[in-house]
Amino acid sequence: MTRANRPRLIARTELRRRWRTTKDNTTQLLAMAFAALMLLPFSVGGVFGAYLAGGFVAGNETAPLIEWSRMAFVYGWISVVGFGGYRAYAVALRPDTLDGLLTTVSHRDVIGGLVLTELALWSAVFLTVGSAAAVAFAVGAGSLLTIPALLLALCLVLATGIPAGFILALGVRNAGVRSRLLSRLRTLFLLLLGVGYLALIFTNAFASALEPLYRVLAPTPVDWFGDLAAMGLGIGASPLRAVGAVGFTVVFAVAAIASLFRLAEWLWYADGVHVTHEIERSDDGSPWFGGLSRVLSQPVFGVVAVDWKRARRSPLSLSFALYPLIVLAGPTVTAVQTGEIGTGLPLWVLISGTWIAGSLFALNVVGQEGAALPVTLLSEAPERSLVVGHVVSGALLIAPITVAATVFSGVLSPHSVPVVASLGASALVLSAASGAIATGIGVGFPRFDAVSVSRSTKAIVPSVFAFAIYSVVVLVVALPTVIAHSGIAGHALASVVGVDRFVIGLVGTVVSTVLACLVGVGSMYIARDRVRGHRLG
Amino acid sequence: MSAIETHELTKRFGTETAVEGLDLTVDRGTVYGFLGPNGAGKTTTMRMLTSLTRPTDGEAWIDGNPVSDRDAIRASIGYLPEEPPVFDELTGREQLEYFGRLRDLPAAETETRIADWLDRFDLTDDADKRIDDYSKGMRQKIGLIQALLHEPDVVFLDEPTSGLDPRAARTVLDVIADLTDDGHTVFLSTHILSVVEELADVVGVLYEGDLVTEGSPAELTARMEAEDGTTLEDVFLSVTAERGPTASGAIPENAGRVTDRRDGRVADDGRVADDGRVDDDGRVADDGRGEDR
Repeated sequence: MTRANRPRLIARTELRRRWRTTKDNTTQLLAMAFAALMLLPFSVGGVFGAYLAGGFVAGNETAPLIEWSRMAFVYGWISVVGFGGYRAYAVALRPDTLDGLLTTVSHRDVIGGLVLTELALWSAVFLTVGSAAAVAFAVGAGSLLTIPALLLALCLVLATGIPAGFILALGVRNAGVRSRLLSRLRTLFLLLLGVGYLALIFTNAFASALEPLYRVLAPTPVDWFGDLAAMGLGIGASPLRAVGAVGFTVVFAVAAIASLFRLAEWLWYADGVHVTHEIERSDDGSPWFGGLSRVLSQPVFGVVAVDWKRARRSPLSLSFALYPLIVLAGPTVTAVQTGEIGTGLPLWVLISGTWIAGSLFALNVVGQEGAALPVTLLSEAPERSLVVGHVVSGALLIAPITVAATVFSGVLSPHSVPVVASLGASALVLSAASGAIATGIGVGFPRFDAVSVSRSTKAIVPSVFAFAIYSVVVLVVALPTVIAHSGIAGHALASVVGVDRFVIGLVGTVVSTVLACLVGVGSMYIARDRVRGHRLG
Repeated sequence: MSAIETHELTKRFGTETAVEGLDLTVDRGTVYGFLGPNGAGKTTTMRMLTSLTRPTDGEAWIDGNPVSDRDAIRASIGYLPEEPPVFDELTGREQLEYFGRLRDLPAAETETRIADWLDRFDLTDDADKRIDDYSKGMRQKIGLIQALLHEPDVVFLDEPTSGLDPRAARTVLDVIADLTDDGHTVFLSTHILSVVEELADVVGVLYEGDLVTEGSPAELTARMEAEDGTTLEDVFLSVTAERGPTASGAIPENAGRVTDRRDGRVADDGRVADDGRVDDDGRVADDGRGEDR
């Protein structure tokens, strides 16, 4: 086998493996089908838009079209590098059985195969839609020469953008394996990056954030792809720059290959910094733990203590519980943008806190025991310690934060003090009771197998069904509070009934409390029953 | 020329020393049993010898090629890590064909070899099932076949019988024995002392990064100066005993008795050198160090 064939063989095998993995995962397959369905209108719209754009170009002699073409391709290139780099960082650069590959073929073959894999995946998507768009654009513009020119420009963007993304990702990974600080704070950095990305999307500031990058790249050959794409349109594209784009790609490819080889070698043969876990400080002797151990029975205290230790030492395994924060993003961004806190934000805070408090530890009381489950089940009254312990650990951790955040945002909102007080009472009851609500649902749909919560971390998390049902139930229980405290509905109810807003809020709190107690007690009863009767295998 | 040779091979991770000044010579066509407790540095040594990890100091050669020459090393070695490097999404046959092609083996010959190996390991009927559905033992067998498919001169096996039932383990042991008959060299790391006792021509025991004793199984047991019936396990327990008092305060019996890295002897006067060495005359130097240092 020639040297060029090995990367092709590796890429082919990678693609086959990824397809089989996707094919076997019904959830992933459905998600992909759904995404494709969602993107279909955009793709069709894009193709039609390309046709319209072609017509616009053909009949326009005043607009700076060539500038727009160049700008579009520079921004396109930045996007390919960004997303390609992210995929390389998160997926491609940590191939399975790396040791087996590196003792069989060279790192050059492996990195070549991985880049080819990503190129094939990107091309499958982009060139399919891109070809249709190129044809539509050419028809609209009345210039068939545009089709090969546009397609060639697209190919060159992918051919340079994907390797550039890999180089970027390799640079980051190399820094990560060599820097103790980066290694320790990797999760924090990724979290900040994710928050920053979401913030850019929610604030519509994506283009402004990319502008400095555009300014850097505009004077470089990346700008020439726009000229190549516009050849044949008669809008002032420079043939010299178009030829230069092809030449640049060749030069870039040579430089990129050398860089990829070197960076991959540095990464895969690096010793890496060793982040050793220092001897863990035991919290059991602290006054807080001491007080708790006196209040709770020892088995329940044991479950609470272990829950908190595991959460502190492996926070990533609880990342699923942060999904409810997504509902907070919109109202929070609005509050930041307007500088005002409306009547809705305290309610969103209350709902998010309640949602998290229950899902954190109590939504998979049996499954999350993992390998320790047989021993746990053989302990004395495991149903009591497990169910009560997980409920208490979530409530003690999240309820105070939820109450404080709800009251704080409520005080800053137009709500009156009595209404804020009833809102605070709701926050306390709901966030304390949500764990109890979660337990029965969790034992009904347990999950025993660990799943990947990041590329390098596996954890036993609640099942999707349990999470979905729990979310609905918690929202139903919280609904009276939400309605009674919402600006419009609460006010309307107060006017219709002819009582003060506070009374409506209080009624909402009482109804939610009664519901939470009923559902919570029922759910805990089911959970205790199921844990008591649980048999392995 | 030796199949494997190392000189003062050292690996440090930051301030931690995983392997310290390892001197090894493994002759062609022999089985070298590499023993040591967990964390002794066995896997790190194997990773250095298979060119997966760069040594911090010292040198190593496989078939005369320095381990820094990765392309040359790859061609002459087969490696089965503790976790077999197999892809769950492929079938056993696809996995072997894939690595055969990566190794540049002619297609027809690859097929023949695969068929022979599958038959030998009783895997023919399961060859077209996905590895995802394999038991641990079956995965181990596929990993072993993969390491041997290109008939390498030197084979590195890390716990090759791990997860295998007694019958499959016997097949693996027979395969290893056959390999040496054919002139291949096997570097075998395992915790199962009976395997080493049965197969190894030379045994080296690594402890905290140091090679604390080396010799044939018979030599090592003979050096124990103990009553008849001394086993390799006794030797292992002796040379890897904690250096110093145990939790109960007592010094373990025989601890440090066989501590000479080269020949496992204690000094004639019963003293043991500070660094565990005695000179060739059986004396300890005045400074407490063996004079052969």
